[in-house]
Amino acid sequence: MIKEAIIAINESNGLHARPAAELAAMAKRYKSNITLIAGSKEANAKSIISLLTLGLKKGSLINLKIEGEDSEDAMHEVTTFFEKMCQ
Amino acid sequence: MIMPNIGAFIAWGLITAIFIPAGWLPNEELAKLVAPMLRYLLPLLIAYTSGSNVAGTRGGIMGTVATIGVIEGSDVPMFLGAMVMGPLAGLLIKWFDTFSRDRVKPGFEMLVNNFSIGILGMVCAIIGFLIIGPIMLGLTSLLNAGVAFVLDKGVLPLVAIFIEPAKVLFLNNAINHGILTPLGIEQARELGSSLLFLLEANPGPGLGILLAYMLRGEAIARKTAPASAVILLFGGIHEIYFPYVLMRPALIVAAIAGSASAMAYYQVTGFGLVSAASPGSIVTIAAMSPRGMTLQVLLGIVIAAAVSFLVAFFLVKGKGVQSLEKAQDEIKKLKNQRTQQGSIQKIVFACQAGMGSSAMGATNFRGRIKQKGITVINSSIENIPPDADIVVCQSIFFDRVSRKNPKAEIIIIKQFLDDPALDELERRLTPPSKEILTPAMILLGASAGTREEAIGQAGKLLVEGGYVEEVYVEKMQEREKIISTYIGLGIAVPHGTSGSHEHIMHSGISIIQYPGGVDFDGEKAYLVIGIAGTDGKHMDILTSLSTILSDEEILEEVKKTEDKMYIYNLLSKI
Repeated sequence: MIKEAIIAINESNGLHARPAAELAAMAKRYKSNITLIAGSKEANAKSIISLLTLGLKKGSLINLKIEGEDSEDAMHEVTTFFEKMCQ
Repeated sequence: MIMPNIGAFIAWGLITAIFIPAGWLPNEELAKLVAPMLRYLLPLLIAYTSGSNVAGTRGGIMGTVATIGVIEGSDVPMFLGAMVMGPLAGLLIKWFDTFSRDRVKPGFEMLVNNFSIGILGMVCAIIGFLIIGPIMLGLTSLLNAGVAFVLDKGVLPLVAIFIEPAKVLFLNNAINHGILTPLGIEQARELGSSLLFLLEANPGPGLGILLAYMLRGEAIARKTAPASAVILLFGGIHEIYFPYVLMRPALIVAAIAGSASAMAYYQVTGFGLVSAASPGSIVTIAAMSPRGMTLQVLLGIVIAAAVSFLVAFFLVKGKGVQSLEKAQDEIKKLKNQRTQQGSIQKIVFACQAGMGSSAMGATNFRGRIKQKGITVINSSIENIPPDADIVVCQSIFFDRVSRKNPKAEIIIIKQFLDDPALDELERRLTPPSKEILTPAMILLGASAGTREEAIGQAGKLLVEGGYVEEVYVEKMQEREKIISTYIGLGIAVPHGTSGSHEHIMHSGISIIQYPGGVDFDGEKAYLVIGIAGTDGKHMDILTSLSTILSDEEILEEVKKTEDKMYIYNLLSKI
């Protein structure tokens, strides 16, 4: 099952090391592949360093793609994470 | 706060000694000057000086406004009130100014400056009128009660303990004419003379103190004391010596000792005056002495002066006294230090009034340089502080500023907000930008037992490289405890907590290679990269680093290379 969503980063500091570490730790709990696509770059959400290469700043748009048996739960948790981060 | 005003005291003393009805050239019209000078001029001058000692001209104005309340709230001269209200009101406006400095939008400075003094001054004046004034009145009646009590008990010399402090607080007339003179007249009617007339009128204690100042006082006091002594002794204007006691309050002991000795002498011998000697000069006292007793009575003045002088002699040059020469030496030393350091600490924007354009310029420029340790203030041309390193003003003021502040560098501008000279100054004050990475920030083949140790090493490099303050290293350790900065692939990127930007002087990174690895919360880091990124820079550094190091071939090389320059060339462009 593939789930997709578009998310805008609204946090003033962007996706820096701490949220990236939190996101990766969360992604690792799922079997699904979780991919973030921003412009021409693609990142594996389970790798902090990969997330950091995206250089997501406030206002960046990302395409979130989750593929696997637990994609629905993963989608819910990841979108919640970004919503919380943006507050 | 007293010293600068002694000239005004002397002016008042001369007018009083010459023109009052008992003076040398009595003149009813000119004598009208005496009361308002004593009631308003002198206390307000003290209030102004003490307020401006605390907070410059604005403090002086606040102190003066506040003190008028105390003056009108009481009917004795309010010197003590001025000495209390002046500095307090000055402090208040200083706090307010510090508080509002960075909160006022450019263009609103004059409004805020004027209304802050307006409103706070009004409040202080009301408090002075309603509260401090009546308290001072209460103090007066307390002293009066003390004098009455001691007289009642018949231990005359002890009255000095009340009379002398009361005199110095300018309550002398209240005590003399309120208590002593009426009692003395009663006594003189029965006995022909009374020593009560001599308690307050004796110029001896004050004379002794002035003599001590003449011999041992600091330069200014030494030079003014002789004139004051003449006014006191012959003019009988005792107020002239009060400031000298207020300057060094311990001298009240000398006055009390002198006064008590004279009283003991009069009590034992029974000498007194036939009527009130007012003003208390050597001339009126001689005139009021019983016939044939003049010398004996005057001897009491000599005794008081001698005792008071002896005590004052030791007090005048006590601790805390700074001779003018010594003070000048210290100023010289300070100046030398400053020129040696050559650093710019205080920039003053100056204009005619020091309120409008200069305030706007200072606020604006303060925003342009956020350099730590540099104070940017505004002032009027007249009040540029002596420790100003740079004075910014318009060309018409150049002469005045260079005469008043010969040490300061003067920058001439045409406009206060936007002027090429200000851009130039800003460039001078902004430290040159540094490279993010230098070879010295790269350490190969290191080892560390714990992650704290590794972070300490990476942080130490950043400190040594001049990128961060030492506190930043603590912030790095703190940040690590929140969640590990291990980002995968054997790399950790320790950095400070999000609030630690202020400890970063320049953006930069340090790179340490640990061939044996360091345990980062269960993961092994072979590369520890300390990051110090100012505001927007932090994310850029993180992104570039992770992009470059995501290439596994390159990463492997970075982890095992023995060539610093390989890493430097790879990462110095980020």
